[in-house]
Amino acid sequence: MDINKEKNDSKLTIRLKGRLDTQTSPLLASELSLEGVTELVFDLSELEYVSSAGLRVFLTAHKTMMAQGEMIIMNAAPVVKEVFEITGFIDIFTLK
Amino acid sequence: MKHINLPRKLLFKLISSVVCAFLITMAFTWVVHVTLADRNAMKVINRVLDDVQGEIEAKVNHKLIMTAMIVRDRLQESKDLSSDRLRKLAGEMRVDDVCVVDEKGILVASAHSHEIGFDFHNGDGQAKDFLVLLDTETEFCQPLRPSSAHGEERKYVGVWLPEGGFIQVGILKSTLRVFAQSAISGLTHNRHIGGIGTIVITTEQGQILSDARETGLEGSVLQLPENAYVVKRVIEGFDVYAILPKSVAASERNALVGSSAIMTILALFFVAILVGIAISRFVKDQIEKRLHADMEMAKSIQLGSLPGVFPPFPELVDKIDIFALMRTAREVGGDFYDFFFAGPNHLALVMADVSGKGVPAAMFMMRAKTTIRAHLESDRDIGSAMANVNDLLSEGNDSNMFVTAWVGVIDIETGVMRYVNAGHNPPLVIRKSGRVEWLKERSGLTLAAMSSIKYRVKTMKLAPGESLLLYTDGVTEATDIEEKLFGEARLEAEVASSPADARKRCEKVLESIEKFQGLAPQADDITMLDFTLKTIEKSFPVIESSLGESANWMSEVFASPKPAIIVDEIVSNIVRCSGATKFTIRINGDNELVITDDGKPFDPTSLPDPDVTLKAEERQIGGLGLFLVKKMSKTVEYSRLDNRNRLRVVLK
Repeated sequence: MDINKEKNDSKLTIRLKGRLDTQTSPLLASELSLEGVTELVFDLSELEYVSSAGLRVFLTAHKTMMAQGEMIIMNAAPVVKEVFEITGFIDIFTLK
Repeated sequence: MKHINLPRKLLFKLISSVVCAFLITMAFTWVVHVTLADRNAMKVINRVLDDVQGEIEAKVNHKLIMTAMIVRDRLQESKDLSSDRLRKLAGEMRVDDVCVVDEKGILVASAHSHEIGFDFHNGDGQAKDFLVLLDTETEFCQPLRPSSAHGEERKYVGVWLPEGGFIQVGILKSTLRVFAQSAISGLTHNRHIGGIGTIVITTEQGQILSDARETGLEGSVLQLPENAYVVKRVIEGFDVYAILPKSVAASERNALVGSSAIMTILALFFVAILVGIAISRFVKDQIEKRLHADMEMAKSIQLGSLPGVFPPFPELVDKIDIFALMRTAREVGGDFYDFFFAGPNHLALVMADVSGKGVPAAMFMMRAKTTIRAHLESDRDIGSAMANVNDLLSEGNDSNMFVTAWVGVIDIETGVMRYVNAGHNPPLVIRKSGRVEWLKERSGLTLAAMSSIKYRVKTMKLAPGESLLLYTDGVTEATDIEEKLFGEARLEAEVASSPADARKRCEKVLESIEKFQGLAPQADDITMLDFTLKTIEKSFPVIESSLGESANWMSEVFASPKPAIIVDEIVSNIVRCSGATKFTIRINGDNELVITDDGKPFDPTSLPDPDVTLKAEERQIGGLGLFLVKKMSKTVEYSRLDNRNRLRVVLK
């Protein structure tokens, strides 16, 4: 999986490419330093799918951002949205 | 029937024996005809001479008898029987002797008085012969013969006397010639022998008296011609010559020999032709027999070189199904198929057709087959492998043969197939849904046609339960009696309605082709290969990296990411919690996953579903993965078999 980070002041945009699953999620988790970030944007336009391991990373990030700003998920593919739906995360995350 | 030229040596022998036979026959015919001609000439001559003799004798006898009768009349007129009178009478009649014999056979009067008193009963044979005149006969003639009493040959005739006894008249040979000359003259007129042969009557001195040719040579001395059959016979003191020029007989003989030569030539000509035909037919039969045996041998070698044991990989019967068949035409052709592992889990499938027929095609086929196999086994890049195969086969291909080939290598763990089509018929793909697709796209150039060709490698994917049917043009170009082609449409329809079994599918198509052909002869080899991917299965060791590898694998097998998500959730559990050493993912069809592991018993379906309505702060991740699995699939079944956990998932 490719992780492309773009920091603009306190706005962090992360583009994910590939699969976010059990194997790749720890990588994303370790790359995710949210100190001083008030706006976290995940661009999932190139993310193939996400499994529960990926959800864990999104949830952790979401919990962190709830305290210091907001987290937005953009361009999620239908299958990613479906996972969010099944797991109820669609109600927690802000999807655009 | 192909024409077969006889070997020159054999032809020469045949012709020389015919010529020898002809010469021997002609020599024999010649000898026979020469002999026959001589014999025939003599036969003809003697027949004519017999004729002439009969006539001369008849004429002479008649004249003498008439003379004797005149003598009898004169003696009856005057009873003077003195020797003087009789001598005078003989002179008058131009004969040499006149005598009177009484009824007792005693000579009572004669021109020569010393004969008087001679008893005919005491005479020699010739005298005794006249006694018939005392008995029943009225006249009697004796041929000219030597006389016992006189030196010169003479002839006697007699006429009976009504009062008993007889009158005898005798004439000497020399007298007879003069006496009879007038009777003889002209006797030979128009008496020819065989067209230009002739009869000539001469005196003892050779003076011609009568000539059949009326050449006016009468009186001159006969000149005997040369080169003629000449037979002389003495008749009543005359020399009778039969003359037949040999040219007559020769021309007759030549005509006979000539015609028999023509007949012989014709007969021998026909015999030679018949013998020639018989020999060439025999030779042809022998050659054909040998060719046929060679062909059969080539055919069996060719067939023997193709894998023919099914299933070919008994350990893989759960995963793949392969069946191939080849129905060879009468003549050995150049079709071949092949399948083999070009690498671990990489099965190569080959279907090819060498141009032409017969032993050259079969030999080229063996070469092509070996080359393709060797290159696919050593080169994982099918494109460069085929380019090298093409270069090798193009090298020294003076007979300009070429091979159409479809070559594919399928990863039987993913169903991904990379293939090259070198001018071959497009294969058929039978999808799980039952849909039949043609792998039709622009194909590359046939192998061996030209070197330095690049082949485009295409990729396609077979899902479990899907099949690929390879075939040669013997299938689509099979013809019925009306020369109609079996064609792609019929093939597609047959395949679409065939059972999902490699062997049954091939056999069904073949049966349909045979039915279609009817009584029409099979023109080309019919070859088919069906490959069916039954299941896909892959085992992984329980290590961290297997997570990524199994995910990669899933994305290769499935286009949709959902099966990959499901596998990720299950496999992460196994890797992190089960204590297993190995897990296996098996894909049956396109919607069933079976994941097994040798870890401790664990039934993920027994876990309670998480509450997905909680707020973010309260949410836990545990249990969410298996919840996802359940939600994304139709069925999730757990079982424990042979100390292994087995999870069966039917996808939505």
